[in-house]
Amino acid sequence: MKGRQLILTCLAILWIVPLFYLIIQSFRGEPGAWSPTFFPQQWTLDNYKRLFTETNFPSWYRNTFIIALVSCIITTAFVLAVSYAFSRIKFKARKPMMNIMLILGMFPGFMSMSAVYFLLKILLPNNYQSMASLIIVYSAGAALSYYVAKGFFDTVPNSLDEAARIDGAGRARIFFEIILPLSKSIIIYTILISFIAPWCDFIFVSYIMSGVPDTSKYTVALGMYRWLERESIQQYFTTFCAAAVVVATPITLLFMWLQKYYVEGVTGGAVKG
Amino acid sequence: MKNNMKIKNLIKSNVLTKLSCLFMGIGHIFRGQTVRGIVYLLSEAVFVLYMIAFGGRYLAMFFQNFFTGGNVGFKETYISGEWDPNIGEYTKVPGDNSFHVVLYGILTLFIILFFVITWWRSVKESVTLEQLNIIGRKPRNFRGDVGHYLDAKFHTTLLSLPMIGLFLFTIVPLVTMIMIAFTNYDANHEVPERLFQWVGIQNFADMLSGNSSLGKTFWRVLGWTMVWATLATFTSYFGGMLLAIFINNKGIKFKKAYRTLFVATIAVPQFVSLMILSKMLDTGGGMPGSGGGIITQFIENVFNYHLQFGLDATTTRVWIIIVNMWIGIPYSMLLCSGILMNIPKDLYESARIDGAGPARQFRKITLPYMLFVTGPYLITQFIGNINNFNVIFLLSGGGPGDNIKYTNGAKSTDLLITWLYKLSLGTDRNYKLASVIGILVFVISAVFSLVVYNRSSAVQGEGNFQ
Amino acid sequence: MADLSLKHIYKVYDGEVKAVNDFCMDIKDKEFIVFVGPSGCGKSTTLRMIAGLEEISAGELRIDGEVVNDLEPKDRNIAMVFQNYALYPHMTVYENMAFALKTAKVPKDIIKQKVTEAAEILGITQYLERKPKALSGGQRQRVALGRAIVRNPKVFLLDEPLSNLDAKLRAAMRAEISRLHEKLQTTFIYVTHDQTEAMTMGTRIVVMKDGFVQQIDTPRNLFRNPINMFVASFIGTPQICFFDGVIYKEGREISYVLDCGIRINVDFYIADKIPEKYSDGKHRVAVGIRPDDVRIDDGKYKTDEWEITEAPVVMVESLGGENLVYTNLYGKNSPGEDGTLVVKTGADCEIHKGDIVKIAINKRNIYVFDRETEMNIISGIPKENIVDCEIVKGKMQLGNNSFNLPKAIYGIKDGKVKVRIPSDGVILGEGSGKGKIARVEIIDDKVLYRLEYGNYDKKDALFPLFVYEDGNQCFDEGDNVNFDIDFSKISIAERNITPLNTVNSVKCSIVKVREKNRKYTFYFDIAGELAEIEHVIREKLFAARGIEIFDTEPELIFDAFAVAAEKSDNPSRYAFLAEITEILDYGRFCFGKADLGESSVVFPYSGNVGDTVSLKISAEGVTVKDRKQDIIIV
Repeated sequence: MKGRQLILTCLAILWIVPLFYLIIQSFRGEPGAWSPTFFPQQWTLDNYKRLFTETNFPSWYRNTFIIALVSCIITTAFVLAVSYAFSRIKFKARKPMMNIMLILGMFPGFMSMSAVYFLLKILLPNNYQSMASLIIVYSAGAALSYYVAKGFFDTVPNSLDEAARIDGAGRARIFFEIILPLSKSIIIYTILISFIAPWCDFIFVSYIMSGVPDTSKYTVALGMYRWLERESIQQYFTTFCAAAVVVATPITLLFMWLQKYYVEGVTGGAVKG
Repeated sequence: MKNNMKIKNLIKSNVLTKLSCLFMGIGHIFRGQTVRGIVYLLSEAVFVLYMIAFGGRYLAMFFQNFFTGGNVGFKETYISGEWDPNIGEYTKVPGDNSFHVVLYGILTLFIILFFVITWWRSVKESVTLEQLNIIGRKPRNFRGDVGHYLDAKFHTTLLSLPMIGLFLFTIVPLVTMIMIAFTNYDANHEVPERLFQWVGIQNFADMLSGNSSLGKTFWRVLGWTMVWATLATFTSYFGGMLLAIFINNKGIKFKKAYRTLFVATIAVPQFVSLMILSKMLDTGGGMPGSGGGIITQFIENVFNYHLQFGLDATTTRVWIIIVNMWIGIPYSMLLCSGILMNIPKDLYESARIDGAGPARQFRKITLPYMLFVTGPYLITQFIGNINNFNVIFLLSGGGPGDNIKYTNGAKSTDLLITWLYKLSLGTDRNYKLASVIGILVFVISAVFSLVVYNRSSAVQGEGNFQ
Repeated sequence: MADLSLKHIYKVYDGEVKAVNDFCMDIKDKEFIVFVGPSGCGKSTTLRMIAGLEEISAGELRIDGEVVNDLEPKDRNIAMVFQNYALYPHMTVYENMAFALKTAKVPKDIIKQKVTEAAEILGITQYLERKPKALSGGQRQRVALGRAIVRNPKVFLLDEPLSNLDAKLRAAMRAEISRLHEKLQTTFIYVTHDQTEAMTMGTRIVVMKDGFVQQIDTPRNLFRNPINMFVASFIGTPQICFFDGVIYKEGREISYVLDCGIRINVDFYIADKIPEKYSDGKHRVAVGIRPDDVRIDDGKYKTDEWEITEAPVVMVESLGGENLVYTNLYGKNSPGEDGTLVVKTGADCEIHKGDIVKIAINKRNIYVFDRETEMNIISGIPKENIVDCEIVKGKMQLGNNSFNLPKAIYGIKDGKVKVRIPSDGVILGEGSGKGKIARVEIIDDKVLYRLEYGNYDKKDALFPLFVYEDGNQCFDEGDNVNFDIDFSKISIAERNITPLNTVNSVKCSIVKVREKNRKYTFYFDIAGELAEIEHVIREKLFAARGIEIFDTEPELIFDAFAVAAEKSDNPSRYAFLAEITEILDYGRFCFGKADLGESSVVFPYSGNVGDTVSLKISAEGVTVKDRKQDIIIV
């Protein structure tokens, strides 16, 4: 057993090293992208100070937060609405709609970006490279990810709906007063997933924001990516590490806190297929 | 009241109903469903205006050469020959924008489809209203309608907004881009300056042919994509399962702490961990002041081996898969430990009574059970990995490049999806090829999941719990 | 506080699978009705249709006289208790019980009062603030009942409410629900697959199988007069045992002969009920014997009431309080084979496997079924009596009684004939026949009399007449009564006399005609002959089918007595015009026959052939059937 414990500890170290490296590099005093030693020779908080005073990071952070908040509200509402309808109400178009959505989900999401870009240009002619656009991009297609929540609703006994119908409640009331209060775990799962997505997305934001000279409109992912490009890495590497710590800490804590719901959602989804 | 109309009833109907075929909602207005009728009438007006002012023209341009091949749009931008002193150039007279033609053409087609459906509904309702009138029944009023949409038709209310979002920002763009695959839209036929043309299945033929350099590039990228997806899926999956079993072992202390530690690596936003790892693996690229990333240096110092990440295709590929294990194993560990605890204990007990050792128990009980339960998850993971943009793009950016084996911007670790990204953005813009790749990725995903779903024993009927 | 009426209720899925077929039943106020049957028999579907959770495909459901087909569940004034309780997990017990009242916007203080009251009745007052999760199964079931009680429903619907409970709790809750029924004085409808629950709780039981109602009856009658083999084997534990055999008749003596050779002589009271076609010794029958009617013979059982035989013991099951002894009448030695007969004995009975025991079978309670149709051939009401009569000069001699033949069959050849008289073809209390009521049985709401006439006794070659009446019993055993025979219903094969078919069925269509005042009038159209549809029928038709009624192909079915015929060239607007083609005088009644469309109809009429009559079909007596779907609409 001792041996096993040792192997496990080694594995754990292996897994945590990159994150540890990231954190200590954020306190590195010497400039430049690469340092020859694992631990910094000079410890400093300047990277953080610089992050908040000299860079656009605060506005990226704010942008991302607003986008994440709004799109997670819309996404959650959409996902719950669609999955409840598909799980509970047996209307004629149900099966065909579910099949079409299954097919749509198999196209790479990025494929239609150029057309989305043009559509946004029409809908928001003066402002198509903005937070609003990103919110639309992140949440408009939310209906496609109904599957996990539908799987959850499928496990809520139908007799609850029927009892409520006999008690005189209409479908809307059943949804809001009976089913939603029972769906805490799946609601939290959906919120968690949709809140984290904009923080981590790179591909969509880099397309929507391509060619925008004003970097203050970026989200954290895009802005920080730019820092690590060849031209700027030497200057910004340690700042990047500080920014990464600032971004990752709340997200990580949030995730760890709500881990239970995440596992429930993922396992439920995986098991139900 | 059921709504099955027979044409016979329409033919026998009275003038008012027949008039409603021309002016949607007239029948409703005169038969007690005023609000509904007005909504119908207004939507018809809007539709007609849209078609006259806008839709009709784009539809004409869309279909002009659709079946024969040729320009998408009527006229190209041309230089008028008048000197514009303000910008110091000859004035350009703007022509049609081919991309808009495709986009609006598709949009208009959908709008026509919706209008026809709405029209047919209104006609059916109109006939029903007349018949209801005949047998002396009152139709539902507006208040009743509202209640109806909160109860019996609540699904319509629930689905309307999500579906509008889906339609506008997924379906219309997707169909548009599918259409682009049948044009020659690329950097040489750039809108709005130039028109592009319908070319039929030419792009597919080019892409799939084994002889052209483009075709060779495609098959190479596809090959690596499949190798990557397979390896990435299975290494992470089995790694995670083993790790979960390992932690789950009776003798292991601090189980929760270990689990939390591993989970922490999932919780950190992927772009952060990927970018830091890519820099840790970097060779330094001749930049001043370094022998490269910390891992590169470590390997150099300890094993005296110069890591060629980003320089040598095979090395890069191997390390991408290793890094992906770093990301993927905790993820599937999290999933597997949940399911492991659900395996009925008596299965193991009876196996132990039969004298099966740990290895045999794993082979005969754990593995089949896990595969049975997580079969669908594996499919989604596999398809997710085919489309795993982040890991490749943020780690290697697709590199290293190889101008002999690859063309059109593709590099040696590019997946189809990162190639697609490069083709729609940056210097190698080639929208037609991007669309073709998108369609082919869809075909691969669809075929794969169809085959696996049909064979998978884990396909369970929905609603078993109800 | 309500009675229900289910008329021709169907549940059809996808236009073809019929889950419930032609369910007809009238449920009186305060009854405790149990729907019982194996899973998939349609019992739950029927209950859910009553609740309004499933659409009624066809038929009419009334609660307290009001048609509720299209009403939402909440407007039907019903409450339902579900198998898995269906309590709202996020609400406290109080909130669960108050939900319906809150939805109905009842003032808070009244809600509180009602919930407290209900909680007291069920003894759950101390749990009101708990969540359902913190309750045991029995307590949850009480809460579910409480949720139903607070609404003061007219009808309680219970869908297998006890099947999630363990056996002990189930028995307790069974008693509790019965008590609740007594206390609330409301109509209960209870669905279960457990026949014990059905037998102990129901005032009447509906046995269903494959979507068809098998039998609706009191527990006692289900047990003693099962209509077919299915009901017989479904009701009663241990199950009834069946033995194949035939029926032999020698003179008036009738006996069942089992394939193993055992011969059981049948009491004449029963023997008389056996239709003649079975007593030829060839017709295969299944003889059913209930374990309750078998004893181990200790010598005290008399052979006139008990059949004594010997059989080996195959297996003995001890239930603690009693033993079940499995014997085999065919002499086979392993359990589960043909010929097994179970005997209940006391727990102290010293019988072991392999013993040969003497068993006594109660002859009065033997059941006989047609092997092919599986129908009980002696239970219920005999359809017809077959009697030997003599035709003499326009008169029919039946024993000492003589009846005048009516005009319609007058003039048939004299001689001895066998006459089939249906059980409803005899009218008691009037006429020239004289007889005596020898036995009265109440079966399924009907009264069955055994009428003996002439100098009837056991040895006489004359048969008794079985007569039934709907409704109240008018005569007692031993009464002397007059009786008459309805000649329109008898048949005499030797003289080609067939009963008059008094059920008319006519194909028609429904048409609308626009009047001058722009309103519409609706007509039944029988081959061009129009009669306006009466308001009641019209409303029912529209309620059932809406505007699609004009596209259906209806068929009108009505009894002859539902037609009022009048000689007239000028019919009222609700009547059809027709010409009399034949007059059939049966003495008590005189019928006219006329062609209406493709078919001919009969109705009471005493004019002449060639008369033009107006036929008005009464709204109550007419049934409208959809010919295409074979479903009764009204």
